[in-house]
Amino acid sequence: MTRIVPIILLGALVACASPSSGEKGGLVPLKLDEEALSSAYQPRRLALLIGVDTYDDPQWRNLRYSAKDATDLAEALRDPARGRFTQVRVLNRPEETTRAGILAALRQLKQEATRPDDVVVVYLSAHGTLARDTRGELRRYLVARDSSYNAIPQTALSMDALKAEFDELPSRRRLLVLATCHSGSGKSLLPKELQEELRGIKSGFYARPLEESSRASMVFAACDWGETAREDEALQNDIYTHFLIEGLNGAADRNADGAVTATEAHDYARRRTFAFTEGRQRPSAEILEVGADPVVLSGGIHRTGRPELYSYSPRLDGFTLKVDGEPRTELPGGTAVVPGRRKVELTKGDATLVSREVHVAPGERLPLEELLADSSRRHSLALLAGMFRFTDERSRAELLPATPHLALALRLEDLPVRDWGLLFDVSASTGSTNLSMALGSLTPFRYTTLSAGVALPYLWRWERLTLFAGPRVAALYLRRSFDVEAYVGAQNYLTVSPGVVGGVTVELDERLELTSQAQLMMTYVVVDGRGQAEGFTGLWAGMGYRF
Amino acid sequence: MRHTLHIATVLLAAAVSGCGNLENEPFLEGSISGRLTESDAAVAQVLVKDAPHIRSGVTEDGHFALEHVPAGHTVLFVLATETKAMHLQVAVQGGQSVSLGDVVPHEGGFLDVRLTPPGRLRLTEARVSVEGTPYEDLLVDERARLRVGPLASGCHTLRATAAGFEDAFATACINRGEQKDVRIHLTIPNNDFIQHGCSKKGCAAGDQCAPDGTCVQCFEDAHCATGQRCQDSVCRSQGGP
Repeated sequence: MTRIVPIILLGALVACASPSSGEKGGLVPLKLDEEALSSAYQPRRLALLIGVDTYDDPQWRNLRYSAKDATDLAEALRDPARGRFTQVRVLNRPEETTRAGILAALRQLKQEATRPDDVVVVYLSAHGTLARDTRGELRRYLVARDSSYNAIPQTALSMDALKAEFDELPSRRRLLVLATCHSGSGKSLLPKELQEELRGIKSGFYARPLEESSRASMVFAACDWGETAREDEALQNDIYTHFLIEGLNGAADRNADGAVTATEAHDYARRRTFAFTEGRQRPSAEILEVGADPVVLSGGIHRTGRPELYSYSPRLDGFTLKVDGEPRTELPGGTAVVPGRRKVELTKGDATLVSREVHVAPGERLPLEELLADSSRRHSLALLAGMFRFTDERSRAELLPATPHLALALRLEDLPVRDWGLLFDVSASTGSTNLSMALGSLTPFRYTTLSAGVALPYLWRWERLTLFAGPRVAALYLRRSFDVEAYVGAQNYLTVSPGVVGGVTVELDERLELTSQAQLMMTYVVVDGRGQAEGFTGLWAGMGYRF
Repeated sequence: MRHTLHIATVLLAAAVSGCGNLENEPFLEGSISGRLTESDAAVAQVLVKDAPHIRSGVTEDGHFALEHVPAGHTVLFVLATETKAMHLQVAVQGGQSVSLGDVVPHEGGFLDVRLTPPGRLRLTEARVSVEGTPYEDLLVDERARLRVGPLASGCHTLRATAAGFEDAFATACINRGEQKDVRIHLTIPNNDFIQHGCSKKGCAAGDQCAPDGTCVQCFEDAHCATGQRCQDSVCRSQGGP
């Protein structure tokens, strides 16, 4: 009987799992092509390359290499040994480069690149110009084939509209390359009235930069604001585009991991363009999310790369990055270094902004802004005043009443590890008070207390506000001196107490902060030969100096 | 490693337990001194009401001194002369001496205490005390009466004791110069009375101990005067009511 039961159960299980035609709930065998399944889940690599070199309005002079720029870059991106892009679309014929044609192509790209991990590259090589919109604000425009010189806002492609289309792409790995400028020279042409107006401005440009980037997107421009993008007869390309394509051949693989990422390619093209034009053209980039640098333009990551130090933050623009004392690059940009402990400096002229020793491991990418954050004033010395009191009423009556304290607290943030701190404090008080051994009885005495504590608090930091809390150990010295008929003399007591500390600081400016801290400690006090556990607290507040 | 941990634990425990000395015992008590402006050294004394064992005599010139008085608020009973007594409220400072300076005694009051036992039983070794005063275990007279004083104005707790009776308490309040009667009813344990009655304790003078243990005027004619007969435990004249 015991053997039959398992067999019946097994039979029932098999029966339940067997496919049964025409009935609900059965299992249906499914044959899947593993290769098809794998490719369906692979991120796609899509590129839209636009080169506008002929213009209907004779006021826009034709460009020689814009169409070729798009074609040459397309070739590099399609190349299975380099870009490996699965879909590359080039718009460089006159019938394709109208304003409507460009917008239609962008919208089609939006329908095709539907997944967040798709890699999307949009490249534009054309004239750029500036014009006032209907509200009188200065705007950037990309000149399409059919754009009218006399009706720029109505017929050219607004960079704001272009950016809006770009930002609507679902991809988290998207790159917009602008091989165009708006300075009024080179590949830029401005209306005469605007040129006159801009000439009167002494400090160049002036309005906010238009190379904006949204989260996880990168915008590379072939020239900085107010500079000129140039074509070159010898190179037969837009200069920046030429070096961008050259970088995709592998020359830009800064960290030698086998892949050329978007930032690597831009850094390479930027440096080469800057050198080639002898400083007259300095390509710019604005990148918000570069930590992961997910846009691989060429090759693939075959090995762990060398550690990289980089920054594209406008804050560090113009600083020189030195590694182990050697100048490596001008920022924005990056450099690969030998793994290990490196001395990193950011300098401008004789001034040194940051000088830090960092340990970098293979494959690590260290944003230099982090060093900037790390080098901010993370220590504080505060002068505090507050009260010391035992937690129970009896101890306050028979040991020491609540007394005012003066304290000095040193807080070292991010020690021993990040987001933790070391807190050292010493406090003291002295004065006269009374014991109250019974209702109505007051026995005068002088007291002196000294306390020294060390704590290891965790730090919660916001912009100006820091909260901290953690364990604390403190030594407490108490001295009571009596001069009454029954007793003349001093009594001393020293104890070490465990406890907790918590506090808050509010930064008032770069140097000063308001700070407050409270601690609750437990100790053991022997009075008249009898031991008793006691709790005592301290509550202090004051001003701190950050350094 | 374990050895190091053990040492660290011991050191930490030693540190947490602390070292040094803190003493509060010297501040648990204080002393009081003063001078009575009017006193009779033969009878005068000063004592702590809540601790009557702490007391002091008074010198010819009226000085007194109390030692080891518990710190805090306390009340002194001051007996100055045969007619003057008072209470004094004092805050005793721990470890220190409090000087009251000159103390002017007030007129005291007197209590006429009468003890009343049940069933007209006889009292032996009957005594009265007034708590918090020097009046302790004072013998009552043969009529179970006692005059106590002088007492400070205010309320006093009296305690009466007598052999074979339960201790009895009463509270009496008096003003300066007042005399007041106080009757304290004594009781005896229930079983004691049922089992023994007057056969053990006896009866008040003139009464007879009846076979049922109660004190009565008579329970046979021999207990009555000539011409009287004992009826219902009372002697009655023959032919009378």
